[in-house]
Amino acid sequence: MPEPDAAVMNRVRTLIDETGSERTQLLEVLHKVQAEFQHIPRAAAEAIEQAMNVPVADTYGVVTFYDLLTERPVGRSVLRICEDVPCCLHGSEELAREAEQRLGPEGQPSADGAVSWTRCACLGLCDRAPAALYEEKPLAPLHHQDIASIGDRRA
Amino acid sequence: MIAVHEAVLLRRRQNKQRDLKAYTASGGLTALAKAHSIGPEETVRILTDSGLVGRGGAAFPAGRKWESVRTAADPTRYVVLNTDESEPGTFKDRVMIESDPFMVLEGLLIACYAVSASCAYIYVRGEYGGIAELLERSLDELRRAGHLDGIAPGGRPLPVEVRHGGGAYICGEETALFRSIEGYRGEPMAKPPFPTVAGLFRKPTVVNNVETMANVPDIIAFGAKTLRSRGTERSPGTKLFSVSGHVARPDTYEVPFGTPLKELLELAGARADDLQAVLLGGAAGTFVFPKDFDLALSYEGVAERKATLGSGAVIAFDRQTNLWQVAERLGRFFAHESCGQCVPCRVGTRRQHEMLETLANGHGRGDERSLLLRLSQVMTDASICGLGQTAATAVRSLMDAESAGLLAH
Ligand SMILES: Cc1cc2nc3c(=O)[nH]c(=O)nc-3n(C[C@H](O)[C@H](O)[C@H](O)COP(=O)(O)O)c2cc1C
Ligand code: SF4
Ligand code: FES
Repeated sequence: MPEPDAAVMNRVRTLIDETGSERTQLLEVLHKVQAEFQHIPRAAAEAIEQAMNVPVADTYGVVTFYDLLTERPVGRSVLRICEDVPCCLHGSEELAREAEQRLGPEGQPSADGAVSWTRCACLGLCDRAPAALYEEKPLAPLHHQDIASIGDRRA
Repeated sequence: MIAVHEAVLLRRRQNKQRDLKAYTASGGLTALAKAHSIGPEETVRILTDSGLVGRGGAAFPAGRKWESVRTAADPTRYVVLNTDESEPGTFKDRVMIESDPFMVLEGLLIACYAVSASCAYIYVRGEYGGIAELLERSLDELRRAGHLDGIAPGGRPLPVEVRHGGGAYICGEETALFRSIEGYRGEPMAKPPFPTVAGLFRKPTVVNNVETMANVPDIIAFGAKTLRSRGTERSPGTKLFSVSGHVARPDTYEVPFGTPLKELLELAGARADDLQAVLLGGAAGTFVFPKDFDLALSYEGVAERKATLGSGAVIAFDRQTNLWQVAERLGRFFAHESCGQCVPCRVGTRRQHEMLETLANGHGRGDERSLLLRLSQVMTDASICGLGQTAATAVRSLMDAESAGLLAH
């Protein structure tokens, strides 16, 4: 069930109060909104317009620029599989295909909203290739078994 | 012969303790105390005389940057620690911070004191959540022990903000990074004006790489000659290299400038004879083949062979690797990471990737190479920032190697 807009707006106002309402805090606020709602809902952008004086269109301009922020919901847990050269040399593409089979299409959360996966750029973990992040923490080297157990956790 | 692995920056790497007590017990914070006693002007002079150049890729003299900001007319200044590290194959800044967060932070505090910064910003890539936490914790310890006191103008405590990037490689470019901190899309701005004149919030700003900052405490504590006991005349000191790919021990290695590439590869457990090539300097680097493995890892050494140290990334490829497939991945990276602001880069990186895909699959029509060459010229000449200007560098070096018959496939 999506949360009612008023509840989202209230919550985002609280996040802005905690973080700061100057424009320079926009990315920090958006990170918190993304962590809580798995995307930047329209109501959040409206709350930001009211409390931070950043137009809705401007907020989405920022959201679409950054890979870690999304317009559409991702899973509560996100698996990011690195697709850059050192990881590729260590089989990251096969792992991505395995993720597609076990976890569904890239970027699309499971029916219960628990998990989604995506390919991503170098994670700075190339010494532990093939590298991934799961719930924002390094999962490296990533094994086929890791993907299987992530798959078991979702409905 | 195997090079001595000179742990200067990474000398505390094996220590289990990462707290402030352990850091001060091993000589930490004496440099900050010395800076306070000799004053900003002398501090910057020592740094300038040391010959330290930036380790973030552009190799700009660190002392010159600090001096312009120290003497700027505008009294509001900032210092930014660039912790965006997103170049494929690069992880040395992460290892530096994990090994010795206080050394990096002490360098940052000295910079802030030396230029009378009103505030310091640490911009950490969003994917480095653990690193951001470690820095916050270490800052807290420094703050509680009173080490941030007296650094900001008027003897006030220095405010330090840790900011989290949004997942965009381009935000490592200094002007894009400023835009990102300010709350906008991370699109680079044309230079000049340079950051030392109009940087973050249009104020004079010092922005330095993590490894650059980590070099500062020893230089201030031990004097301008400190770096010169290692490395070469024109590249004094040591350098961190991130070695990955087909090597037995992928890791960050610290070696004196001038160390032959071959010795670095051997440190990482690669049999240089078994390798087809390495990519030196990151996605915008150049392919280096065994006939050049004797090249000296110094700024002058790589310039001689038309290579670059870039971010210090070294990715090794065995003879089974199809280097056109590697180039396709590099092309995909640039097409994805282009900020899209200027046409030569936005369109050029996409066209380049399409052609590299064709070549990687072996379905070329035959004219791809000449098109890639023309495209690379346009991107180099007409792009606003370093991303577009260097997005074809590796591809060009691969084509040269192909013509010289150096590829295994
Ligand atoms: C596309 C692009 C990406 C960059 N990424 C980084 C980076 O991740 N980290 C970094 O320190 N410098 C990066 N730089 C270089 C910065 O713009 C800047 O020169 C550097 O942070 C200055 O620090 P230094 O003088 O200590 O090297 C990048 C430059 C470009 C053009
Ligand atoms: S060269 Fe590319 S990354 Fe740089 S400003 Fe132009 S479009 Fe953006
Ligand atoms: S290439 Fe995968 S983590 Fe760097």
